[in-house]
Amino acid sequence: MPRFTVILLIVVLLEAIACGTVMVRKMFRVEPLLPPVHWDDPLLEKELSGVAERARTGNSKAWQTWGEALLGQGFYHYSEIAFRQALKLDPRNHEARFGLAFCLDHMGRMEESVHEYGQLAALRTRGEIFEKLGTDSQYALGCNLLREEKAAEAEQAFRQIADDPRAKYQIAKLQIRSGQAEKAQVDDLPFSQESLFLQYRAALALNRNAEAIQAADQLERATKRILLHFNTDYVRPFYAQYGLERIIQDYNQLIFSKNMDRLRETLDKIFVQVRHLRSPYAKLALQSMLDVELQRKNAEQLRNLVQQLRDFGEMDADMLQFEGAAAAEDGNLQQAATLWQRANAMSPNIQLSLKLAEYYESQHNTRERDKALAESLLLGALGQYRQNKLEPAHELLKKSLDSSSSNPRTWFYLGETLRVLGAREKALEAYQQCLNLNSNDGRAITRLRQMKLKSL
Amino acid sequence: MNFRQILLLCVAILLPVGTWWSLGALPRLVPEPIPYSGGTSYPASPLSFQRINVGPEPVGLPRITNVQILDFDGDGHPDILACDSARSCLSLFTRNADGSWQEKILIEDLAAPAHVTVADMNGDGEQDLLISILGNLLPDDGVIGRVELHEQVNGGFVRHVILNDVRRVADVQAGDLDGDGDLDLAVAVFGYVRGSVLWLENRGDLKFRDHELLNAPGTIHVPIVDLDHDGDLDIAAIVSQDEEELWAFENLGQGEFQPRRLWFTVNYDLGSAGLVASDLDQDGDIDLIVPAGDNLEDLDSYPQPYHGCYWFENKGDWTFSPRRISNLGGTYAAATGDLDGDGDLDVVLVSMTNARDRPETASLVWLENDGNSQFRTWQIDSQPIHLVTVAVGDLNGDGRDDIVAGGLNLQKPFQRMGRVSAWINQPAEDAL
Repeated sequence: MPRFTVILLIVVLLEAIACGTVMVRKMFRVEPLLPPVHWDDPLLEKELSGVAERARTGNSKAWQTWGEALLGQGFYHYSEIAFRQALKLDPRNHEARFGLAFCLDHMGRMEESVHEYGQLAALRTRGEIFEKLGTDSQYALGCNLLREEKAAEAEQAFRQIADDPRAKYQIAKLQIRSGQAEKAQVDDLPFSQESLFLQYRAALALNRNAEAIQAADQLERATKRILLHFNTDYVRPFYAQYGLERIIQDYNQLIFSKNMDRLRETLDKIFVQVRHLRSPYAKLALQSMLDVELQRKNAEQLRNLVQQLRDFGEMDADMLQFEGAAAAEDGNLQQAATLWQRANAMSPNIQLSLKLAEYYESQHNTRERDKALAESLLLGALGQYRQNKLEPAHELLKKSLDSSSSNPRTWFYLGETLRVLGAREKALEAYQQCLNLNSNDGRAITRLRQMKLKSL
Repeated sequence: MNFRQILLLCVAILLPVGTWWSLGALPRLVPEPIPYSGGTSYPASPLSFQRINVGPEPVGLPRITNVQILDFDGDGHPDILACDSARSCLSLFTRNADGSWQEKILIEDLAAPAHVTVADMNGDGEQDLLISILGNLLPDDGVIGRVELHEQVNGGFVRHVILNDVRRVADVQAGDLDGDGDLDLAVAVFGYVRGSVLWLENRGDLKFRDHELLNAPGTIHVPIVDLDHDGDLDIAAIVSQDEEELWAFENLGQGEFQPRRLWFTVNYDLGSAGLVASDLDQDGDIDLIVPAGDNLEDLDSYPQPYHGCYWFENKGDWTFSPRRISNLGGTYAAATGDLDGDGDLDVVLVSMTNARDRPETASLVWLENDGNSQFRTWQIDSQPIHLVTVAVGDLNGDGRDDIVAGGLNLQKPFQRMGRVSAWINQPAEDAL
């Protein structure tokens, strides 16, 4: 056979194999499914279509990314399909399996979810996956068992990761609630709001009232948390990668530049996409524009934006505050003060109290000025108190009383601060002073009783 | 070139071209996967309801937290009160002769009002307003809650802050708890991580002394009712967040209460969303009804298999027997009334988060009581969605109970949204 004929035969054969492969792949290709919804975010459909296209021709990782994109938008049922395809292409894609388990659990299909989390948890015990992924899987498995009201199985599941603070918490809680408070190792938990609440409940269950009172007292000033549920932390990065949310994240980074013109320009671009929609982004854009125009001291824009928000069906203390700022820029201090008083009555804050103090000073109203100053100092003190910063709280409370000594609340918190700092006699005096001003302050009455009984 | 070579050359050219051309027309041999279909829908209600918009056409993202039906202005016709956390106000809707509703803002400057309770707090014959102030509708553990009493005076209202310096307040109810002839209050301090249940002892002159009954986050409602039939008023409380407990505070007299945990579940995700006190089986004692379906801790909620409505039947001696009477996904509120006029109490439920990509899933249903406390679910409507509060009452004076519901539009989708909507119970000849 002539050589040219042989070459042609080989070429045709190779082409037939290649074309056949392409056709078979096409006929058996799984198409990424885009949810057939009307999108609230005008950018999302196009962006997600791009991700879908990459999944269509991509590998397991591309399908995983597609699954995560859908998960970020709350389409658990579509995300499940994407994760399953990712696993079909690579059964060792552990992140895809975690995503699948998460979707199943969020659709209430706990048994299926437990199975998937279980596979990951088993890999953890063999050291085959990252510790965090394995631990989270085991913890989520235990949580799913709680949701199925299988308390004993859940406890066993948590015991597999007994060093994890979340698991310790859940075990202790189960014990307390099942009448085994004496076994609950609440002292082993990291000091946190959650552990203190369990200590409180355990103490009550064991009739140790003094311990319960002390735990509740510490709880008021505790700031640390045990993150018991990772749902939002897991999903939020996927949500923030696409659509207007992505642009908002970029905007939030831009804020540090303090370039007001650029900030306003970005917000205008966002707003133009959503102005005719009933979208939370429209509201968010308008609210952010108010911050910008406040910095620019642009009274007309402030009023205009507040009106747009009103037309959108919104009204809150912040809007009153911005309106007050506009009035102040125009030199209309009385109107500004009226608006600030309304805002302060709705949502007291230090800034407003100080603005009002300045206004009263300008009106030579020393009584109201002192009250407003005292209020601002009290609010500052409470902020410190609730972070357990008792010395700074104490200083601010004293200053507040110097400005105005007629607020029973200030005296109550002075009592609280002094008590925890160990000045018991002065604390008792402060509580009594609170009651002298308001004989109905139930907390002060309770504190006096507790201190007399030496519970605190 | 000979014929064979020409033929092979043609095949070599046409094969890829033909393949490329035919790719679009190739059949798919892999069936398209069918996404899981959650959410709940039910047979259409045999009672017919006409849906109307109450007040002006909604704009933006309405966030109504509470609706009630009552004759507030004393003109003999029922009105609707609505707490509006988007506009920070309390609105009164009154019915015009043509059946439309007119809105009047009664109270402004309310920072995320959660609930209103109407009571004559100072015994002057005027209806006063007790408003539960969350301070922030979104999760917030800050000490930003209040109870505000707006005393009605000469057609207007005077504001009194009767409880301050507490975390977010979700409910306040009035009743003479210490038997001294005046109205005391029960307060649900929902908070977020920390919260409490309080009772406020009325000391006269609109002064109240606070007493703590429970230290726990997530209390939503605190109905005041005589649960043990001993003639005094007790307090019930549903505690949600991760606790999911049903509590009662037995009134022992002299301002003393015995806390009783009636029920709890280890399912921290139950999503209890409210508490209604009602004698559902009409056996003379007060039962408790818990709608469950709150998933707002997630960015996007999804109906769960344990959502629905739980009836805690009062068996006496502080025993309440739980029974699930509905599986409506995302159930957020319940109300009772005799919708079919057969003498027994039915239950109306609203859903905040059913499967929203399926437009046929239910947002409003009623549970028909067959007279033997067996309930059958009928679907009234699938929109508006995001409903969180419901009330039942005869709005048009025709002797049939109607329904009002309010929308809280916080999550996607931002479509098929309402603000305050009513469903007017139609005469039997209009029934499907």
